[in-house]
Amino acid sequence: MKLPILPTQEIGSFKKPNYLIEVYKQWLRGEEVSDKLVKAIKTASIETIRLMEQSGLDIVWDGEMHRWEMYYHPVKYIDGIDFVGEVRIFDNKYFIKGSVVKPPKLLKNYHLEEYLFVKEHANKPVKLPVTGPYTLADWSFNEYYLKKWLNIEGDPMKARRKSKEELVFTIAKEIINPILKEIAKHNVFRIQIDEPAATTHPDEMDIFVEAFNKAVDGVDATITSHICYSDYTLLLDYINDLKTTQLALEFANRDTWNRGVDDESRRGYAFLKDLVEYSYKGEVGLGVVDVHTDRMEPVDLIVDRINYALKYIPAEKLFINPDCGLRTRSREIGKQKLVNMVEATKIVRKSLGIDT
Amino acid sequence: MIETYITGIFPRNNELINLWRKWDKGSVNKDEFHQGVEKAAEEVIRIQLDSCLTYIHDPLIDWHDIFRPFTNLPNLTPGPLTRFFENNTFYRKPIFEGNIKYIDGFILDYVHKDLLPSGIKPIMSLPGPYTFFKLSYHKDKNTAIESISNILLGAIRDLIKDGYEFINLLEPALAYYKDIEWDLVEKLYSQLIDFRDYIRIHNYFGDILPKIDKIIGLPVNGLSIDGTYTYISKLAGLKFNKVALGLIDSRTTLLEDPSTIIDLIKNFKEKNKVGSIAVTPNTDLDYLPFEYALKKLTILRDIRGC
Repeated sequence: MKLPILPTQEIGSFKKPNYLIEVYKQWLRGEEVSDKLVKAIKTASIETIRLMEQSGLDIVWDGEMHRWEMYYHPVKYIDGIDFVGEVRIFDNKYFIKGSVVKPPKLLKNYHLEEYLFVKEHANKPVKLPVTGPYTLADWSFNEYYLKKWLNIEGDPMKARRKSKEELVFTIAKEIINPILKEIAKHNVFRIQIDEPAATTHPDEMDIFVEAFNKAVDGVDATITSHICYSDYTLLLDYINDLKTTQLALEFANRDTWNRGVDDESRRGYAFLKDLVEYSYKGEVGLGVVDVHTDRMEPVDLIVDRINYALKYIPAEKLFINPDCGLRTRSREIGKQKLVNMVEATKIVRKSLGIDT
Repeated sequence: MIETYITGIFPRNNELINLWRKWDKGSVNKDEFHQGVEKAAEEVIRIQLDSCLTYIHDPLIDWHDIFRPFTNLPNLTPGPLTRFFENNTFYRKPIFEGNIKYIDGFILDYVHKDLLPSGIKPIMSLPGPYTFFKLSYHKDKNTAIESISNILLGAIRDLIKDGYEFINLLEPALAYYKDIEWDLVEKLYSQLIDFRDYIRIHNYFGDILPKIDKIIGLPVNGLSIDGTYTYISKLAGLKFNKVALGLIDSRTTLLEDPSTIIDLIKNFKEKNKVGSIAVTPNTDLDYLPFEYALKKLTILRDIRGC
């Protein structure tokens, strides 16, 4: 499938419609609503695919309507990780966190049905987001392996590292790799490995990279990746080892709202210079709208952000996206952010002499 | 006698989380919301009392992060959501927009001392000056140093005057970063020297073994060591006035064995010269679900032997 220059895409999640949230809540409370839930998911999925298409995106997904959220959904299908309660992410936003109590084992390919459903209903190329092994491990309490390694190692730091390594690699090999291999058989356009935890532990970058590569090993598909809200410079020493076609990163959140393409106005995008310095040759997914605020980025600000990026990244390697999934915004605001993003991209394409 | 206390923010219980969701949606009124927060704060105080902790920490259950209340001061605004060290937890980066003046009594609106029974020794945590400096955005270093000193001096003064026993300055940056700007650290702590007898430094998220001499040399009354990073058994020949060992891991559901911890403490006391010793969680219990925070407090109770 041929994409235009500066392809626009979303990252993954999108706000669920209220009717779907209500059924999910009933389901989470253990009420028997399976049929109702499946029906609501399908309706919301199609609605969201259409919303993405109507926003003008070149690559679409269904906003993860098939998943309660990116951690809960996979863990639900992994034996060995038990949910233990809600833990804060920020403010009053919480996620239901799991604890690893025995070696993780895959119960079911939890992405296959949703991928086939979205593919069937989408009129544009589809990108499947998959929570990566490092993030799944990092967001879980590592009870089983930590206990094992604390008994072997006296040094708590060594024990923590060893236990993390064993957990991450197990998830990469036993959970993620088989899922991806099976999906790759169904002519998938792109698979995006979501690793928001990737650049959060400076001493574990080697573990992250090795796990990522194990997870995608032998997978016959285009693999991209998404990382956000962390210190990307930690990745630099490994940037060309990671088996990914694209790095889609959050930038807008750390940027100013001043207009211009100077370094200070665009200080949130400083990492692009590092990518050049480290000879990164892959694609960059450029986060141009902040998903944590209702404040609407004007089109001209987004244009400036894209033009700044073009100083460092060739147009044929640049993709345009929000910082992260838009699930924390309302559907109306989320859509408007996408529309502005697409509009700004069209303006830049035109300035490059490309007819959109 | 081994002292026990907790540090930082305590997790919200499910009732409060749900109440807050309703508050965010505008479906409860101000009185209902405040009553709910007070009720939850009372519960956290009662839990600490039931656990026989030596000091009772303010619950801080209404703090979104350790900096947030201060962003209500003029010229200090909450900036972008930013990852808090290596956690899947985010804070609003404080943005300094000029010189910040502390407003007398400001911090007292953000604590729950009125809920404490009389005769209780309350304690409180505040962001340490170095962590405040490192985790905020400021264009002018000197103005930031002056502002942070203004804020912390004012807050500590208010709290001590209000009867708080000591202030735990949360300094993950000091433990976490490998390269520390020691001149800056010393300058920041020298600003707080009038309150040195009331200040303890809570170090966490890093191994402080390589910098222990520097940290011990700071003008404070005590310090803590994160036992989930620093190999406690390797600390020897050191002299501590007041030391807290963070041996209860706030970032795992794995439950510690009280007798193993008591042995570690005995061993530590044998190898070092110690004034008073405490055992604490290594960091805020907010990294755990509420029910697991309670389990960790049970361990503290068992260590204390009550």
